[in-house]
Amino acid sequence: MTSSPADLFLSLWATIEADKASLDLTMPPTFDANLKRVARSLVQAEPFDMERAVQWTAADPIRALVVAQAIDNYYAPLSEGSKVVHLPTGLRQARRRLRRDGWLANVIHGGSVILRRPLSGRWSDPAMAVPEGEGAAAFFDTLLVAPPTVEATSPDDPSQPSQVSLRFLSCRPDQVRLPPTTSWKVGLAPVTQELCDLAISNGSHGRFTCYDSVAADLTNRIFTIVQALCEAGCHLIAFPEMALSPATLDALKAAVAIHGPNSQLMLVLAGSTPTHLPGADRPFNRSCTLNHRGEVLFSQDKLARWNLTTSTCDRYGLDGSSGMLMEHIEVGTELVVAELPGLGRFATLICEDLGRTQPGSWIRKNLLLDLQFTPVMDSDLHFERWSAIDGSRAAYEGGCRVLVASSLPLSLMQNDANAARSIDIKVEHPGIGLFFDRIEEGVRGLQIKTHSAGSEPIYEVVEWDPSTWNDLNIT
Amino acid sequence: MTAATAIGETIEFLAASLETDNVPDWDVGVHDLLEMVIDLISEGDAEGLHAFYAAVERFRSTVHVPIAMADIAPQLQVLTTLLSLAAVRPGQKQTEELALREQKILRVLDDAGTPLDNSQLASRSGHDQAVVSRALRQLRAAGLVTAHRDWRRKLNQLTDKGREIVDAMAGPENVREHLSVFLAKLLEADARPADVWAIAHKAGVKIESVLVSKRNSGVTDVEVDIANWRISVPGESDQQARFQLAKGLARLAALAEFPISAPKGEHADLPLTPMAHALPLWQGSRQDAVFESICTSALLMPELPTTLLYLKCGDVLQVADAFKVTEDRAVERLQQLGLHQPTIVVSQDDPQPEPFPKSSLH
Repeated sequence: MTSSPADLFLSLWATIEADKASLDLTMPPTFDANLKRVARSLVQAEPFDMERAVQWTAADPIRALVVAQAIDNYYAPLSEGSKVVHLPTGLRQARRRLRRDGWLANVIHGGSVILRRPLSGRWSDPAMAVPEGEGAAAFFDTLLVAPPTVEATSPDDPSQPSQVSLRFLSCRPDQVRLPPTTSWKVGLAPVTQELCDLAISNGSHGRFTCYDSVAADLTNRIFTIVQALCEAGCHLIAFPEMALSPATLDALKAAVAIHGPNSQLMLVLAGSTPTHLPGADRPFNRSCTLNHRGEVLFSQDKLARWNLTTSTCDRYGLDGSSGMLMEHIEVGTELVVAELPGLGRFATLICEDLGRTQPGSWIRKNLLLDLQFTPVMDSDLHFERWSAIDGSRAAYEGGCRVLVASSLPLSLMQNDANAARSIDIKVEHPGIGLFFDRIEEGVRGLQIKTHSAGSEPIYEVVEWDPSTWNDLNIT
Repeated sequence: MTAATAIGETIEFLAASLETDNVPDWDVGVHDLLEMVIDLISEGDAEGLHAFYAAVERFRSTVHVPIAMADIAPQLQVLTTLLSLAAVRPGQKQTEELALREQKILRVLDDAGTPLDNSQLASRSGHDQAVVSRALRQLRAAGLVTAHRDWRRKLNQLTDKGREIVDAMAGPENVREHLSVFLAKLLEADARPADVWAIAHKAGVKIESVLVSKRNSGVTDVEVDIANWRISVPGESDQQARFQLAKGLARLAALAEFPISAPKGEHADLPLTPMAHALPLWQGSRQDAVFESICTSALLMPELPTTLLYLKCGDVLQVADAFKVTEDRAVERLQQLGLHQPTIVVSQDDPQPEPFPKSSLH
């Protein structure tokens, strides 16, 4: 496999990151013109001579930055969308690699070199993202390095750091439908909408008391919902956390395969499902992203458990007498960031993963997400709650759009618990969704409530139009 | 980097992906090729287009598609059909030979009604002066424009022959008619009216009404009323408006997902179409550029409804029935479009694989 300038960029990145304190951002314009010219000729040589470039770079530390900036500049036509017929051979090959794999360098164990602005378009305005302002990334306009692992907070202890691996993937244009040029229509369906649709049970596992949440198999309901949302012209359909049993997920795939191709549907964000894998004692809390043909594009496991304190158990009428209730799931060790044609970068952070600072904050700031999906299993979503505070902050710092979807049973459980404790608070119309979008200096948000109840399938269709939403304060 | 080099290199890449059964590489290669032809069309690069067409035809006549990759055949067919149609332009012969920028300059001169100097032409056409000078040299050589001096300015004006050519260029009304026909055919092809509304809306085309009525005989009458057909581009000329409309046409074509043959895969019994796989190849990056360019090919193919219908049903009798013409007339028309032998043969386990049939398209 031949080396490309991106491979050299990757190897230079670590050097620059280490030396960044001594590198002055005002220096590059004053570099000797001859230095820049040599760097440019090394980078643009066809075929690219890695050995020669490495030799020249190794002679002087400052050359690392000059060459890396020449490489950054070399790939700029890809970001600018230059016509493919006019691209030099090396860039055309790089473009193919980006389209096929999503990254540029041949060697990926040291991280992936990706484009700062996705090759296949963005949904959001990258200028809205709050720049990191530090690190090697500040020296470059075109390229980014996505490391193999990123820091995360521990699955059970928010004060402890851990590491998750980062998987960057690109969906090919034949896998995903073209996004709309007009406003998006988003369909939300709680799926689990009655108390009997969700069973939360306690059990003892070793020295821990855990809870399992299991949704009923609601295959008929899911067919009705998908058909209705497809006919309503939805581009995105989002489901909540743990609202889909494995059987319901299969039904969802089949329903999308039937109704999706003849609709405007682009993506289905399939909330999450308890997914049992061989060798694992506990299920994974896994969210799948489907295309309009019902095919799974990628999936994401929940990275941190939502462990219930005694007061949280009281709020929902759960038995918390044995202390902390641990969520009985295996946690994921990988975070998937997908590049979707025309939409940009997308990641799913399930429930508690939104509340944890990392890795969400890192990927939003450094990989410039366009859309973040957060399925939750929670009571009434409104602007005073954690999901709104963390969701709006996520939209602000990432300059991205954030979509939170929830189900109904916990709202109903909270109503019952309040009634049992003679607390006169009853939520008649629970919030089942929160949308956030970065607008200039602030964030706007929308709360989606449902006014329906009972066993008839509940769904809401909402246009993504931030101009009509509420201005939110970022704390 | 010349167009021929880029095309040659990409064809080699495609051939290599075929040899190794590398479907993802084939997909990105075809996507590149589509974008290349689109770039060439949008630039009016006739020389590049000819080189492209020749290269693809050579490739098509020699390539052996392994059975494992049989589903690429429709893509190849779409590509070559698109190219062949792009090569056949409507209107008078001389109009056919004019690149888009020359057509635009003729249109600007016609719109102005008075002679214009080079800088005025450059500002009104949106091209830079060097491009305008080059185009004017060609137009003068063809006898379509004359130049005379007025004090220090060199003024250009249309000759009678030039005016005839401008008149021969398809006007907005024609394009509007094509769009109506196309939408009507979409409806005939069992697209639901709601789909057509949605598709047209996506393409930025406002449809006032869609009237579908079924006769007792089972024939469907369709009447599509299109208003606000000019998609807004500030300061656009008629020429640009036609392009924008044709862009909508191409987009409609891409979104309509006309089937070519039975789908493969686990959802074979579902209403999926191979075009749903082939056409999204157009839906990648730089959508505006992609569609802006596909528009040109759509503009150049008023036969699009016939072509798509034929690709859809692959049966002369159905084409004859759809267009209410005799079978002989349908055969004649399809032959004119080079579509009398559209099926790409996929070789089985033959030690001497049968090549694709050579296209009779020019």
